Amino acid sequence: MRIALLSDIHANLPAFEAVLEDLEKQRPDAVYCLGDLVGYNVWPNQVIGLIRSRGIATIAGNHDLKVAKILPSQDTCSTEKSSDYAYKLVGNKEREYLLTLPRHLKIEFQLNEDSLNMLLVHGSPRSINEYLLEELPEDYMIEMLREFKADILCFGHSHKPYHRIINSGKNGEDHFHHLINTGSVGKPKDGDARACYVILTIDPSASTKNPDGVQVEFIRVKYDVEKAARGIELSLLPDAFADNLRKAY
Amino acid sequence: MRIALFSDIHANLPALEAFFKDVESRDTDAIYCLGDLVGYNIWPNEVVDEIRKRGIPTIAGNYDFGIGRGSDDCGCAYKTDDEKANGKVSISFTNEIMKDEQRAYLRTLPAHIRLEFQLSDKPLSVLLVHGSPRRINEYLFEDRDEKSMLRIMEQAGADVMLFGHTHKPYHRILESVQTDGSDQFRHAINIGSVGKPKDGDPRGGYVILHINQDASVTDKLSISAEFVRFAYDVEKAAKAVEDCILPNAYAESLRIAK
Repeated sequence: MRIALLSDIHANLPAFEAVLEDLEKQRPDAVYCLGDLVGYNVWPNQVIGLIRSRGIATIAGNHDLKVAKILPSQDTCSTEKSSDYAYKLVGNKEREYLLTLPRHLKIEFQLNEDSLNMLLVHGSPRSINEYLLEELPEDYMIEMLREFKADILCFGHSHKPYHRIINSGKNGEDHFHHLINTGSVGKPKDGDARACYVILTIDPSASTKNPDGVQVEFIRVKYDVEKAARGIELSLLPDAFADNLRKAY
Repeated sequence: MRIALFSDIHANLPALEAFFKDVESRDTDAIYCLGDLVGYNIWPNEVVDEIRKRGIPTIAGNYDFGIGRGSDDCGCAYKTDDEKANGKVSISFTNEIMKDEQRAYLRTLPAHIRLEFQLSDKPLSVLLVHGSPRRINEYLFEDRDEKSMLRIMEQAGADVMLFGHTHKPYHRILESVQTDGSDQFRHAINIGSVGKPKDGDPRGGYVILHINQDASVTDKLSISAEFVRFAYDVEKAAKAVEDCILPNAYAESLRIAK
């Protein structure tokens, strides 16, 4: 089974369209989105429209929940630049969609005698806002993986993709976990301006004893960065966001 | 949020195509499939391909579990000798025509999917299974004792449970009192069958689950199930059965939905 994991689109329609086109070639068996559809760019409603029309299973990100507090602007004459503008653009139907998204998805495989639990979250299982960076201490991660019974933990939020394998086994018994940061479709921060997503392959031999049964591939997709950056500069969003896209930081 | 859930297609491609046409006209937010893609008709590979093509999150049904492993046991509870003999023909036929790539897909389908919502101060757990949380081939009929049903859901930590397998749709609301004295409402929802209904209505069936923006286990009406029926070319699906080695009884059961 090949599963595509997308995250942190951040209203970047050119990047998302390029990824959807790439998915047509990759032909994964299932597609999941780990949240942050909105914020930082001008196409939130178009991105949500594409996700909904494809029925892509999606969880909420921290930016998606911001629309509960930042309402559409009454003052349509404002020319003041503000990051809030990204949320004010979100339509009523789209707000309702974002505010009813699930927080986590759990997918339980029973491929062999044991079970293999895959948990999809936006930030961390503990908090939608927590950054699970690559260099976090192993003990800290093992405690979290055990608490939430996650053998494969998939998340986004930091916009810096990585795959880390941790063995939490004791007394010579292996128990391998996979930590997968999917990177960001619409706002990469790892110095590579191309859109990023993950194809996860679950082999019939996958188990907590066999880490090679789960393979992770990071796909980078070229898109029209300039178009996305100009979208920001021509709007009431801060110009710095455009520079972020061009240089991927 | 409006989530479409469908299951028990059982290799009935005309029914699946009609389902997609129907669901695409209803503007839902997400789609999940609860398994049993294959068995009892001639299009198992095509059904797998149509579902894969759309990237729909899908869990394994008992028939998928058997075919995925090339087994001659589908885990079905056949009652009579005739049913057993027919069942043998169906699984060996399906094993014979199943292609490697489509079989590999069935082999690695997950068993359960859980959606965890946080829409009020209490979390809301929506569990998708094929038969029951305990067994892929357990039948949860509508007349099951309420205590037993509640126990199954409590043990699985499910506030809302959606399942198929019996091909007979229903929505049951189970009331219980929580430790803080408040009423809790659990929802057990059988989503029926797209390709082999057994409730006397030969049309395909599926469910749209409605979850309100402030849905909670304490608010009975904040979660509801819409049962959708759609017409499809039953005769085409029945003729396909009759024109191949499959027992004619399966054609008849499509026509009368038994």
